Amino acid sequence: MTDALAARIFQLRRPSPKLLAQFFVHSFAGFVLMPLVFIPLYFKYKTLTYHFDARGIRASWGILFHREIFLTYARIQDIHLKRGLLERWLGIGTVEVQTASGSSSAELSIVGLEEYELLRDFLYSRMRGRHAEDEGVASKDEALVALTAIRDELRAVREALEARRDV
Amino acid sequence: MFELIKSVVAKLLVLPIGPPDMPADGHASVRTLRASPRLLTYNYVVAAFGLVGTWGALLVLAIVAAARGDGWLWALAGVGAVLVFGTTLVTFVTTRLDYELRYYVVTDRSLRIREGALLIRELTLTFENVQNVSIRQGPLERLLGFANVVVETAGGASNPELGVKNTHQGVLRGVENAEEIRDLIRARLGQSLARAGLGDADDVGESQTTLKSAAQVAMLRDIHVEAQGLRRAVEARLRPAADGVSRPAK
Repeated sequence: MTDALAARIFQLRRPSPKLLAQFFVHSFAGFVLMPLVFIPLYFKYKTLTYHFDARGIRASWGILFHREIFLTYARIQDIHLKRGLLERWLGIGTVEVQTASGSSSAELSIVGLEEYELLRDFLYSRMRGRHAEDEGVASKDEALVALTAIRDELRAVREALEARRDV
Repeated sequence: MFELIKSVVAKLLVLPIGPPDMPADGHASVRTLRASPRLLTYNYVVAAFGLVGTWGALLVLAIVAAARGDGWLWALAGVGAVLVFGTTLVTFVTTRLDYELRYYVVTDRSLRIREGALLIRELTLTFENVQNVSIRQGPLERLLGFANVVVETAGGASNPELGVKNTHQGVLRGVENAEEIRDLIRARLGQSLARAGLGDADDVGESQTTLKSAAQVAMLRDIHVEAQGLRRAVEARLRPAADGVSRPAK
């Protein structure tokens, strides 16, 4: 189940087009300055990419001011899921991720995903403090998985060697 | 009456009804806590104080209109009345919803707090990351008999003057059994700190044995056996070569 979840999360690259709708409505908070507010948001939407892999999240956006954030799951302390009215209507959510940094704002805001709930479950399963104890649940024990792989390698080498001796 | 409003508003505003659920795997215990009904009373009082000013202004406007007898002043007072009644209704509904949608879920290794009526916030943290747990209580809160449990994680500064909220903390607002909850969280904290090898120095010895599960140790033994087997195989393979019986390497 967790592997299927991870596989789905790893496929996420771009925010939902609904994010653009959210940005559009948001920029009306600027009243007459609305285009000035919207243009940078538009380019943020256009360039925003996420990349989830086995170790961490990489997010990047921006053309003039390019930003790229990488953080590892193991350093995640708190996960905030925020859903404003507009986001709930659109069916998207914002997942904010905190590490032990000095800033009080979120380390990384993952905006505009329809899979916010899945993403939170996924991050929850990988964040700090989730894997410290998993006794009895052999399949989830990463150290055990690595050790098993080492044993199987050794066995394969030995068997290959023994087989060649008979030639 | 409120239930009807609630069901309509919940549909309209896409509000989550019922407690937030945790991923189903591997939680030994899940406790769902609610805020005290007295928090609702408290919040009503606070909201009412906030509305005193607007009601006062409306009253003054009505008195002035009555004294002057101007038609347009009455019209202004009418518009004002609609606005003030509307604000009052919205304030009380959101206050009630804020209470009804408030959930605290404590599992054996994590905490999830859901709060908010318009912007819905859900905070999830694992006890591994918790630095301290404290109880805060104001005078009125003490009178009503509830308190707030504050769970802080590392990092982050708040600056109330600039309106910057500290997001490195979770607050269980308005719980009646604050001490019990604090002790519960502390107990969980102790467990996970021991597991992670953090915390007090005398915890470390324990953690080193618990970090390696029995299955891991068994697998390490397997690896040892395999490595021995491999060495024997290599030795057996090298011996004929040492005897001078050369074989074409394939």
